[in-house]
Order: sequence, then structure tokens, then C-alpha cells
Amino acid sequence: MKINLKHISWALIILGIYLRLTDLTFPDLTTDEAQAAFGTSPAWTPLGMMILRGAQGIFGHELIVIRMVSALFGIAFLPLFYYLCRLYSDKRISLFAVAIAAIFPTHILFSRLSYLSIQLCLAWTLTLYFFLRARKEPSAKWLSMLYISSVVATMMKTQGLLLPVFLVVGMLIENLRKADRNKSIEIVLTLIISLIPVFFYILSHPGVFATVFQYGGNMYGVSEPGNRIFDLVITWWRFLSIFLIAIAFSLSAYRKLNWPFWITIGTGILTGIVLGPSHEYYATYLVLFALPISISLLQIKPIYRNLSVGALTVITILILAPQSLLRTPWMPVHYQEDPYWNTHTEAVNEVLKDEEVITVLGGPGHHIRWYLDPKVLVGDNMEKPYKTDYVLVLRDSDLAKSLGKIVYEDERVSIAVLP
Amino acid sequence: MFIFLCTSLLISITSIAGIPRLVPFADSKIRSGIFDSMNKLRSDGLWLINTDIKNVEIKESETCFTWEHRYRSREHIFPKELITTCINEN
Repeated sequence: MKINLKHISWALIILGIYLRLTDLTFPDLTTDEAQAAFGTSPAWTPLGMMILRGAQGIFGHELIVIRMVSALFGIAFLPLFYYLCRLYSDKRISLFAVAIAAIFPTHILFSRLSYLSIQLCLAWTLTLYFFLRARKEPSAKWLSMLYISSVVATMMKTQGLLLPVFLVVGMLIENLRKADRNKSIEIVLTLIISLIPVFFYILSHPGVFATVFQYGGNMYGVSEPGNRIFDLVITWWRFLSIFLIAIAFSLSAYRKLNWPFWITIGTGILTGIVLGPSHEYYATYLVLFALPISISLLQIKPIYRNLSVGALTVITILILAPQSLLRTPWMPVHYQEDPYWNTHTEAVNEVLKDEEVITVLGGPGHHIRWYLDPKVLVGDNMEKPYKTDYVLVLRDSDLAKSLGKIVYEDERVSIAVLP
Repeated sequence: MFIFLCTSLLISITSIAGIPRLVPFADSKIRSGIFDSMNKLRSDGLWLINTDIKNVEIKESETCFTWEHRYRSREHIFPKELITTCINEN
């Protein structure tokens, strides 16, 4: 049997699905993942968090449950991306694009973690798909689907509102030059109406503004744009490696795709620049580059194309292979090191089993509430004396010893009983 | 379009109902007081993420903020408790 592009594409898609389902329970829960799992972030619109709470309500409060939600969204993206690509290209290119998306490192990585970026990536892609369909044929069916997908995107995570807003702006600019504007008015109105729920949500939830004020000017913003872009590229390089070269190469396919496609990619990039270039999860949206990468690769000689695909696959494996099989220096840190909380929680909770409330010092993240059984007071801003009998100190055993009698100590945690 | 508009307003009902409790924040004194109030909660070791502002009361020489605190752990959402912090304007 002769191996052709179709076989290679399917093999990569299967590899991509496998990698999305790998090591879901290995790394410790991070503070941002815990916020999503608790459903408490004041800065986010509620749908993404409600889905996670719902999954836990049905299947239990387990790490595998909250991360499996991301994995399923990540896998569901692949067929949706195929249909999106079909609007631009034939079956062969579309399948190849899905294969490149399947092995795209940041999309795999954030399909394994519960940051909600993977959910928003799917919702944005859905919005783009229905926008393109409605633009071609503004029937009630496609306008309804566009409305639903846009509401879902805006309520999935607050930054989800950016894409509908930019699509409206794009439509208005595009139509300034056209004589027949009536066809577009319906699409613009649909998108604007879909923004009403997020508008009122933000207006009635001061946590969104409070977060913007808290981080505005430092993490959020456009100050020092050169440094922001530099940080962004460094972050991308760490997780994408030569995929970044493929992205640069793919810009040659610029003219084969229309402005809504590039606006969607641009929205993802802008989100990274404005909301924190060092936040890796904003690199999830770069998966859409899989289409221009595929178009570009199919324009070069098959031998070079196959070599390129081979190199991209090897890089993905080196970055995201199952940690039980392979650990490489290119892997994200939390797959290179053994987790702490996933292996020590039982021992720590055993020491604290009779306590209802404890104080924690050392900058605890939200994940500490996931792992510890007693209620946790954040001690860093509290005045002494502490109100609890037990104080847990992170990464500072000397501080713990100065507080009272040590009843537990390991490489990360010390627990002192106050006199 | 009318159906979309009605659906959007229907989805927004709970948000719209929550807007009146934010009206007091139009006052700059209250806006600045709330940060002091939040610092008080922090100094009690509470996770601000578990708190939600419920009421603002302006008295003669102080402004009082009532917060609803609800601790969340992996498996439990604990019962609500109301906490009031008052900021002296002098």
C-alpha cells in the first residue's frame, strides 16, 4: 500500500487525539485552573465555569473530570476546524490542516489543562464558521447559529466578546466601500444583539472592572509594546518551537484567506499582547494557523513537505509525549517534575484531620483550597497572633520553626502548631 | 432580529436585576472606601474571591459595606455568612 497524504493526515489526527488524552491527572492543579474549577473567578463570564461545575456535579470533584472537559473541547475542535477549512479549500487541504491542528503543541497542552482557553478557542471558531456561512447566505438558519455561537463565546470567558466586536468593526469597514449594504446590516445587528448579555453581565459584576483596574497598567495594557511582543514571542517559542517558523512561513498564504479568518487569529494574538504576554494559554488560539501552514506546505515539493511534517511531529512528541514514557527538557515544567500536591495531599490532610480552619503562609494559590480539607485563611496579610491552632507554611521551614512546634515537614510544606 | 433581542434580554434578566445594588458606587467616596473595606477582609485572612458585595450604608461619619462570604473548597460550598466592615471617613 502506498502511503499518501490522507494516510499521514489520519495518523497525525489519531496521534493528536491520543496526546490530548494523555497525562490529564499528572500535573498539580494550578491557581487559575482552580478558579475555573470552583467557578468563582470574578473576572470571567460564567458559562465556562458553569460547564466545569456541572461536570463535577455529575462525575465528581476529581482532577480527571475538570481536565477531561478541556480534552473533549480540544478533540471537538478538530471536526469543527475541518468544516471551517472546507469553506476555504478542498477536502485534501482541509484534512491536512486538521492533521496540523491535531499536533499543534499549544492546542494539545491546553486541552490537557482546565484554563478555559480551549473552550473559548472552540467558541470563537464556531462564531467564525457561522459568521462566514451567514455572510455568504444571511438566512434565518445561519443568523440564528451565528447569534447562539457569539453569545456562547462572550459568556464562555469575558475576553470572548473581542471577536464579535472585531467582526462588527470589520463588517462596517468592509461595507463602507460597498453600494449594497442591506445584506450586511442583519449580520452586524445579530452580532451587536449577541453582545447584550455580556454588556449587562459586566455592568452588574464589579469584579470584572475591579480586575481590570487591579492589573491595568502592569499586566493588562499596551505599555512597553516592544517588551510585550518580545515576551510573547519568547513564550510562543518555548511551547511551539519550529511551529513558530512554520507560522512565519505560512504568512505567504495571506491572500488565500479572507479578513474574518485573520481577524480571528489577530484577536487571539492581541489577547496575548494586552492581557499578559507571559500567559501561555493565550497561545492556544494560534492553532488556527494550521490552515495557512497546510496551504503553504502543500505548495512545496512533497519530499520537503514530508520532511517538514516529520520535523513538526517530532517536536510535538518531544514537547508533549506522555511523561511516563519520555521526559525531555523541551517539555512544560510541570511535566518535567514530579507533582507535589497530587502525591502529598493525603499525608498533609492526615496531620490536619482534626482542624476546621488553618492559616497558610507563603502566597497560597487557589489550588490550596482544592487540596486541603480544612478551611484555609490566607495568613500573609493577617496580623499576629493568628486565629488558628495550625499554621501551614509553603517553602520556608525556618519561618514555620519560628512560629511553633513542627508537626509535619517535607520539601514544600511545613506545619507548625502554635504555642 | 426581534427574537434575538428578546432572547438577549431574557438571558440578561439576572444581570439587569443586579444593577441597582451598584448604583451607590457612582459616589467616589464609596469607590475609594471599598478598597479599604477589602483590605480589612484581607487582614482577616479571607479569600476575596469568595466574597460578594451585598449592601452599602452611609452613616454620619462612616460608610459600612456588607459582604456575603461563602467559602468554597473542592467538595463543599459552605453556608453564607454576612460580614460588615465600616470605614471611618475621618
